[in-house]
Amino acid sequence: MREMVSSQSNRKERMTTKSGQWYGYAGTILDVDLDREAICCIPLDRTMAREYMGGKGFGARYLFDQLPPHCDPLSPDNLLIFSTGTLTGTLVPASSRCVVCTKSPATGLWLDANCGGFFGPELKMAGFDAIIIRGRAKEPLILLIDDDDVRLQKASDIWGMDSPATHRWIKNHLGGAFRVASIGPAGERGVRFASIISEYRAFGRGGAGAVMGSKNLKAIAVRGSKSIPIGDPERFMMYCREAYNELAIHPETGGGRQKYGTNVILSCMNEAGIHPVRNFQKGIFDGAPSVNEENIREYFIRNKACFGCPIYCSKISEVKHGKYKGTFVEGPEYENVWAFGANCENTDIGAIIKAEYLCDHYGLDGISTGNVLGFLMECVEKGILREEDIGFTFRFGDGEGIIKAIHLIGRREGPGALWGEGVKRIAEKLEGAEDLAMHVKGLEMPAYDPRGSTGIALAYATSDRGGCHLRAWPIGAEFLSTEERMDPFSTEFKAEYVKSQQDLFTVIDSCGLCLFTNFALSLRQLTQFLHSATKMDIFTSSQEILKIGERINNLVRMFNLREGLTKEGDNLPERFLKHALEDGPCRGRVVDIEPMVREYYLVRGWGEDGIPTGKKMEELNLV
Amino acid sequence: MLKIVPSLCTECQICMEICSLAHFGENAPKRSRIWIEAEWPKEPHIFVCLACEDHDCVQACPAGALQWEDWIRLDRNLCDACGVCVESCPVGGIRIDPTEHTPLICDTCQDEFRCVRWCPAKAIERSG
Repeated sequence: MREMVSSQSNRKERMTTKSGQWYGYAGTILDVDLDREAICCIPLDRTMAREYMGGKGFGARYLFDQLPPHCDPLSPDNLLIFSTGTLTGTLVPASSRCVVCTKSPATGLWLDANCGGFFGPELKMAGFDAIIIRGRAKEPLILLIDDDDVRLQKASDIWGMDSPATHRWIKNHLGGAFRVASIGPAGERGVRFASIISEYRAFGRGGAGAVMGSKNLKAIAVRGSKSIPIGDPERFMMYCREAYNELAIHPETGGGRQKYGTNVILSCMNEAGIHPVRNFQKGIFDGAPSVNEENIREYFIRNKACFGCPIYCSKISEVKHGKYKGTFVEGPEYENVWAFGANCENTDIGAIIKAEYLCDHYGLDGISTGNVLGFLMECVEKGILREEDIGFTFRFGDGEGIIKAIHLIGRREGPGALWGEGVKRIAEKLEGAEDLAMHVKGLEMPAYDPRGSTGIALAYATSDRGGCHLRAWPIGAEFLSTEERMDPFSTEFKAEYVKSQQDLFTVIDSCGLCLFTNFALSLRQLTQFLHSATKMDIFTSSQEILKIGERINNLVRMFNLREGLTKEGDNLPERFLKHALEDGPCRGRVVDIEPMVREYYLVRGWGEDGIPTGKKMEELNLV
Repeated sequence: MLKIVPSLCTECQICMEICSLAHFGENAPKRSRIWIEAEWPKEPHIFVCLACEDHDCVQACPAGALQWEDWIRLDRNLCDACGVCVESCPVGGIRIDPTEHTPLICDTCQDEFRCVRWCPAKAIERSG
């Protein structure tokens, strides 16, 4: 072990520069330069907190201001920013979230990927709102944060280890109380959809794991013993109590997700005809009778929650029989059940669980991995790829093939070297495969077919990080709401809905809550939490808070435009625009995306070219 | 006084948050009088004073700082933070406050049992 940096000097600097008493926030940003192996602390700026809140907002401002334009995402120039939200680590329900912001190696554009668990709260309790990581270390390192004692130490013993082994090594060698975020072999080898894993949860999408690997940073271990001061504890506790009561009785947060986890919507999506099958060739899964929420539930052995969460949508599952007997996962989550189930037309739940297990171990994003597999299977089906080139049987429905292929991707062995590039880049190398690559802006797509939901179609096309369901999720309003539902086929009000939900979700991602709180809690409640926790006047107005969300989204848009995005990028794969679904309630449907995007620009106050107008920028104080 | 059901515990730490917030007015789970330890994927362990009948900690305290009056009471003026009570507890229900270095022992929140009221999974209940 080698101490690279004396933490004492950092501490001194921090004490003298700290900008007054903070509530809710820790008040300090950690800046780690891996080139020089230098660590320093920067006091959090009040204007920054007021205008960008925290989490995704901080990441957006730092990345926009500090990232050299057009840099290669896997070069030392890229920044990797871990940022906690304003309310992360507090009593507010589901305040576990930490976000990682960087330039994505999958899209070459903005990326924020958000993780629950315990890493974010621990970072806040160690005294840091965010970590900015820059440069590239000469050798593999671990960033160790033990309250004020921050240092870099050699990681050569664990380079090559999978994520759980890395976590175990750190706990055995450095102390059990550390919370860890680490990459696995996939991140080390630059898989463009590698994730960062923290105790079986993930900063999943967009390849942040590859960025961390390119920086030679194997893991961040953090232990914090400080408190998070709350501005008005009595009022704060009262608001929290109300929120817990509401979450407990709401059907989405107090019933379904506790019982079935995120798989609660499986049957509903399949019946709606938007559960993608065979790499988005169909919208209804014939295997649903054996892969639905009830079947999956049989594998659950207990409930698990992220920090401070009463919803406990996480489950620990065990495969008790068959080939994959003895496999444990935290999950399997809805998206993975789809990615390794319906999307590959696989009905072997054991294989689905094993696939999720392998993704956690290699540090791979489940959604993108499942997309790559479905895409390759379709390539085989269409004769674009031969099984001889793959080396084993690889057709839709083949659970064993899925497992073999994930090993190849995780290790980037043989054909896995190319597969780790993601569907967009694989398709560029395979003649005739372009129409089979299901991605937006280079990011593979999640488990909802946009042909049956105009809302999710627009959400996908306009998402800042590419094919993603977490910037806006109109699925809830179209298919699940107990109140009056929106028509999933109509385009009316969808632009307004997607825009306002994107702004709200960005607020939630910036204050550190889980998006699931949005089922039951209102913006008014969010405002109450923020104000009673921080005592900051700006957080008394719900309108001001939504404006912060809008400001962040516009800044991210400017970032993406600077990096080369044009309006042509706000689009969907041709399959959804030209080839109709053949079965079920969405039979005959395609997406007419262009008019929706045009309307969305109008609602956003952007020009026809998708560029925010000067007036909008001025209104949001972004000039 | 308290009954714990580890099989229901989801490790969310809400009990630890409300405990620290109620006693110190700040969000500091590591200063909680109840805490959870878990080794994935196994069932977690919940540690808290169960107000057992033997009161080993009271007997063990060399400074006479602990007394039994319906529950364990700590006289902070007498406590010299030696940590003997931590060792003596048969259920591992006492730990040392990382900030003030005195023992953290459940005081039932003056009969309000906040951890019981706030636990969303009913992993901790009142008994007796």
